[in-house]
Amino acid sequence: MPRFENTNRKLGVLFAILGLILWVDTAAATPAGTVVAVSGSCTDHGRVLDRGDAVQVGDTIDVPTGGNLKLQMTDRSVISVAPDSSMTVVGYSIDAPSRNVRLSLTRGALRAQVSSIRDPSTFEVATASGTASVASASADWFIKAQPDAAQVAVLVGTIDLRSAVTGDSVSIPARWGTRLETGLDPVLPRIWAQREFNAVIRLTGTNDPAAL
Amino acid sequence: MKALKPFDPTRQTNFGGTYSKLITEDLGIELEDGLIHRDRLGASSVTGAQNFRATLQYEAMLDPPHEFLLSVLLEHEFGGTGDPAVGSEKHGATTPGVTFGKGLGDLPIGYWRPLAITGFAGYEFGEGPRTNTFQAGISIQYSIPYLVSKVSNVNMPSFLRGMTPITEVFFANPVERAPDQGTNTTLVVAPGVSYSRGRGWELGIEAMIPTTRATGHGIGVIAQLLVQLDYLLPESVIGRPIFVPTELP
Repeated sequence: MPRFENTNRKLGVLFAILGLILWVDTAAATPAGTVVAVSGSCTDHGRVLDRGDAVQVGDTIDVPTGGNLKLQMTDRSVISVAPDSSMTVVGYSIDAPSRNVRLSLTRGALRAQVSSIRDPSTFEVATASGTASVASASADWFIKAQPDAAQVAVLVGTIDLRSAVTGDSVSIPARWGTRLETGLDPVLPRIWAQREFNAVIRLTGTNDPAAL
Repeated sequence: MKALKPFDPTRQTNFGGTYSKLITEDLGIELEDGLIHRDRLGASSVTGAQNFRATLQYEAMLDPPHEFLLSVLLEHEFGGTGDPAVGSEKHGATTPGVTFGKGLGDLPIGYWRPLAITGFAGYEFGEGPRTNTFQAGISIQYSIPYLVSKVSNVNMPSFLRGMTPITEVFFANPVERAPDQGTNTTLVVAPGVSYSRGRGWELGIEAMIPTTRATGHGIGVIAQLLVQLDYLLPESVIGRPIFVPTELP
């Protein structure tokens, strides 16, 4: 009997440890969004993504050449990732009514259709050249990360673009865009033609017929 | 603007306003009017309206990689809409013209890349007895905002980072002699500076130096404040072109 009790105690400890591990894991895996459209072999840390898969804080999403990915985020924002892109969800905290979103775009492009929020919030995308952040309640905008530059264009709302090196920033209103070369100030914004917007809309579009 | 004219002891100040509106992304209209105030030696001052002008301008060529832009325009001055007491013509005039802008940023010239040249040439057809005039202008400018955003992170005070030194030259030559009008060439050189940090406004100030007898004597000053409504009110009717091309879904 004592031997049996000893085994039970050991099992209890094991289950407790297992439960603790599961709890810690669940707490760390903060959900950020869900894949709503995918084409091509898009991966999250090597795991191939399918429609309906969850994306969590800390995930790095790679979209191959010819692929596309669309995410519905937990705050109802929609992020469309262009072919040949790599994006990391650094933070996605929604503590209603505020929001704190930090994405990192290593390469490629994305479109962020940022849902409206009443209270002050942070929604920013960092690249090697600088950081773009939403300065309006909602926004629909594009950011492209190149090896030595970043490009931002705004369809709706206002985006601030700040140089990582000089700290200088510009505000980009709707229908305007600009460029930031690594190590320099942002270029003064200019009006974008509709054909320029259409090119980036196509780039970040998805071929999945079930897309939103 | 303040300028003196020869043989006419007068100091003239103009207050002008221009409203530009895009009809489509390539076609715009510009409406211009203003007041002229003349202080005369030995006589009372006089203030009156200048003639109303409207300009249609079409962007015929845009080549961003080569930083080149070419526009054609048609300007009409509506004669008799201003006050003859301040020199506004009773007869109107129509000016077809062409403008261009060329940045040197695509050339391998290092710190000279922020240089840009703009130009204008037009032929003013006067109505009735009004003399036809050939007009031209050219400017050369060095954009510090271009320097710090596309060439090099030069260490300089913040306010200097928005400066663009500029020199403009205006030229007008009446091509037909009218019995009651002057026929001399006017040439003004205008060195100055403009300031913009991409916040929806731009301020420019230039000296106006007459270089021919017909232009006048004494140095004038011109100051311009440009407010970009399409930047400040981008999602309103005021800030957008009247006709916008179809957007992809």
